[in-house]
Amino acid sequence: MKHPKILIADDEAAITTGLSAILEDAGYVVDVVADGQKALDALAAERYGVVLADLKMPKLDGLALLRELQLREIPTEAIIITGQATVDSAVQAMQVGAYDYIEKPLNAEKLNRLKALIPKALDKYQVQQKNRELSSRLEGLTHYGELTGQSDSMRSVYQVIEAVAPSTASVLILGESGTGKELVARALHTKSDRAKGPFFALNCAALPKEILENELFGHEKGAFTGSTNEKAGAFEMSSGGTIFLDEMAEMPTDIQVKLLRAIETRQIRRLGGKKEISVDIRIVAATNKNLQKAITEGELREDLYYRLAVVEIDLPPLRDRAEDIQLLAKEFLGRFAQQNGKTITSFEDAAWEWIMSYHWPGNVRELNNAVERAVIMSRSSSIGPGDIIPRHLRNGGEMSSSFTIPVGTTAGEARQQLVLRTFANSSGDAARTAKVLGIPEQDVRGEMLALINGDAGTAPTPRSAAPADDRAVKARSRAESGSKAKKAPAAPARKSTAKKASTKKGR
Amino acid sequence: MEYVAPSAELGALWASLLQTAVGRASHEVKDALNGVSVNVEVIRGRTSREGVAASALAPFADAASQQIDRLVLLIEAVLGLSRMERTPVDIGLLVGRAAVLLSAAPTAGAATVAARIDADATVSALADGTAARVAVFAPLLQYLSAEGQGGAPADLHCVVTNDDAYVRVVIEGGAPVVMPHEAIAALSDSRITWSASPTALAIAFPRV
Repeated sequence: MKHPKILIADDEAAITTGLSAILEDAGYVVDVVADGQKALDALAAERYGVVLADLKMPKLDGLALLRELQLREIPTEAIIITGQATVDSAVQAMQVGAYDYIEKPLNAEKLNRLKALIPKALDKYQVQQKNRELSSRLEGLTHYGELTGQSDSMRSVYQVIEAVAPSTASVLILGESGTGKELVARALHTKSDRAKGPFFALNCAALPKEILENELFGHEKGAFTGSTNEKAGAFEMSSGGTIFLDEMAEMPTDIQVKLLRAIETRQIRRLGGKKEISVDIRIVAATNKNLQKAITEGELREDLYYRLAVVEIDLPPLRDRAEDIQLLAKEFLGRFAQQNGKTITSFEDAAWEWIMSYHWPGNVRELNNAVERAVIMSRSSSIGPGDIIPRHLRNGGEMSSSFTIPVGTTAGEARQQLVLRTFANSSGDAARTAKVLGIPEQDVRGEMLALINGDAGTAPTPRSAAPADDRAVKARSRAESGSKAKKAPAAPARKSTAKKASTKKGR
Repeated sequence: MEYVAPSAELGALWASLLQTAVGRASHEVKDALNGVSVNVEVIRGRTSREGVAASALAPFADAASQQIDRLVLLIEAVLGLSRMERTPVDIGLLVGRAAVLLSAAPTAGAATVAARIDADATVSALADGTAARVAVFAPLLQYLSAEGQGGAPADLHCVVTNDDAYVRVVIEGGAPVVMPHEAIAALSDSRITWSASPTALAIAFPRV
C-alpha cells in the first residue's frame, strides 16, 4: 500500500537533507520546508500523513504550527523533534495534538525510534482519514442498504454499520418496535464478507419454546414423535452467513444456555443428535426490551448479553428524527402508489401537518402502514388529512400540542385550527378550550360547528344557539371517535350535521 | 601571563552568566550534533547496501563535516570560557566567543549577537579575566533576556577597537544596552569603565 507523504519542517538544511534521505531510503515520499508558516501552507494545500516539525522554527514555531493545525482541522500526525527538551514543552506539544516528541540529537537509537514511530503515526492517520472519508460519504446520504434516513442519528447508525460490518463481532440492535432493526441486520450482512452466504432471520418471540429450539438447532430423525426426517436448524442453514435473532430477550432461558454454548464453541448439536456440528456464523440479535431489567429479573442471561452485545446499535425512534419523516413518507407514497396503480403524487398541507406533528409510536412501520392505507383509500391525486389520519385519532386525542400554520393561511382558518387543536387537547371540553384560548365558549362552539359544516375558517359566532350547538359538538365528537354516536341526542336541526360527521367517518 | 583568581562575588556572577549563555546555546549544540548524527546515519545506511556510488554519499559527508566544524566552534567557545582566564586578556577572542555562543536564537525570532573585531586593533587588555568576561557577557545577556519581557528583538552588534590607552568594545542594539546592577557592583574594583548612549554601551578595558 502506498504511504501518505511525510513533511519535514526545519530550518536546518543539514538536518532536513539527511533526514529526508533516511526516510526516502526507507521508501517514504518526503517534502521539506524551512519554516513553520511554509509547513502550514503545505499542509493546507496537500495531504501529509506525518509532519516532522522542529519546535524552534522561524515565523511559526512547532507549538504554534500544532495549534494552527488543530484550529484549521488539518488532518496529519505531528512528531515534534526538538533540542529544547523540557517537560513543559513536551506536555505542551502533546496537549496541542502532537503524536509524539523526540529530543535531538537524533542518534542511531533515536532515529530507530523515529523510524518505528512513523508507520504507527501513518496508520493512525490512515484510519482517521478513512473515518473522515466515510463521514463525508455518509453526509449526503439518504439511504443505506434498505434503511432510509438523513438525520444525524441515522447517519451515526450507518457509520457504525459500515465500521462493524466487515468484522465478525456479534451485534445487538436496540430499538423500539418498527424502527427497522431487521433492516440494520440485513445491512450488516450485505456489507460484510458474508454477503454471499445466507441471511437467516428468526423471531424468538413468535415461536413456542420447542419449535424455537427445533428451528435454531434442527433435529435428527426420530428425535421426537413424528420426526420422520432429519432437519437442519437455523445455525446450520445460515453457516457461512448471518443469523438474525429478533426479540432475543424473549427466548426461554434454557435455550439461551444452548445459544451461549453455540456462540462460544461455534458448534451445535441437533435435537436428539450426538454429533457436534461446526457452524460458521455471525450472530446479530435485536430487542426492544429494557435489557437491564430483563437481566435483573433473570429473563436474560447476563453472559449471553455480553456475548451478543460486542457492538450495540441503538436505533432512534421516528419521533426523534423528524427530519426523516418527510423523506420516508414521500418514499412510501411513491412505492404504494406504484404498487396500487394510482397516480397520487403528494400530500396536502394539512396531511403534512398531521404527519409531522404526530409522534408515531409505531415508528417507521406505522408510517409505512398509514401511507399505504392512505394511498388505498384516497380518491384524488393527493393524500388529504382524512386519508392519512387513522380513524381512532381523528378526534385529535393523539394530536401534538403544537402545530404549524403555513404562510398564506387566512386568519379565520388559523383561528379554526387553533380552536380545533385546543378542543382536541382539552378532551372535547368546550368550556376548558374557551378558558385556555381566552375566548367566549360560544365562539368555540361556533368554530366547531363551522368545521362540521365544512365552513373552514368562516365561522360565525353563534352566541344565541349555545345549548343546541353544544349537543351537536358532542355528537360530532362521539361520531368521530366511533363511540356512542347513535345515542347522541340531536335536535332536528342538527341531524344533518351528525349525518355528515358519520359519512366522513365512513371514508 | 598569569592567572588571576576572581573575587567570590565576581566568580559567582560569572558562573551564573556562563550557565545562561551555555543554556541559550544548547539548541545550537544539539542542532549541530543532530546534523552530524543524521548525515552519518545516511552514509552508514547507504554504505551497507551494494552498488551505492560515492556521489550518493558525498553531500551527506559534506553536511556532516560542516556540522562538525560548527560544533567545534561552539565547544571551543564553551571550553575557552570555562577555563581560568589569564592576564592580559584577549578581548577580541572573548567577544568572538561570546558571539559564537550567542549567535543562534534559542527561540524563533529572538535576537542574536554578531561581532566585528578590528583586525588592526591590539586587543589585549590588563583587566582581570573574570571581570572582563562579566563586563562583556552581563550587558549582552541582560539585553537578550529583556527582549522576552517585551523588549525589542533587534540583533546586537559588537565592535572591538583600540586606541593608545584602551581596548574598546561597543555593543549596539535596537534598544538601550545597559550594564546590569549586579555587574556594576561586581566590577567596582576593576579598572573597566563604560558609558551608555541611547542604544549602545561602550566598554573600555585598559591596554597592556
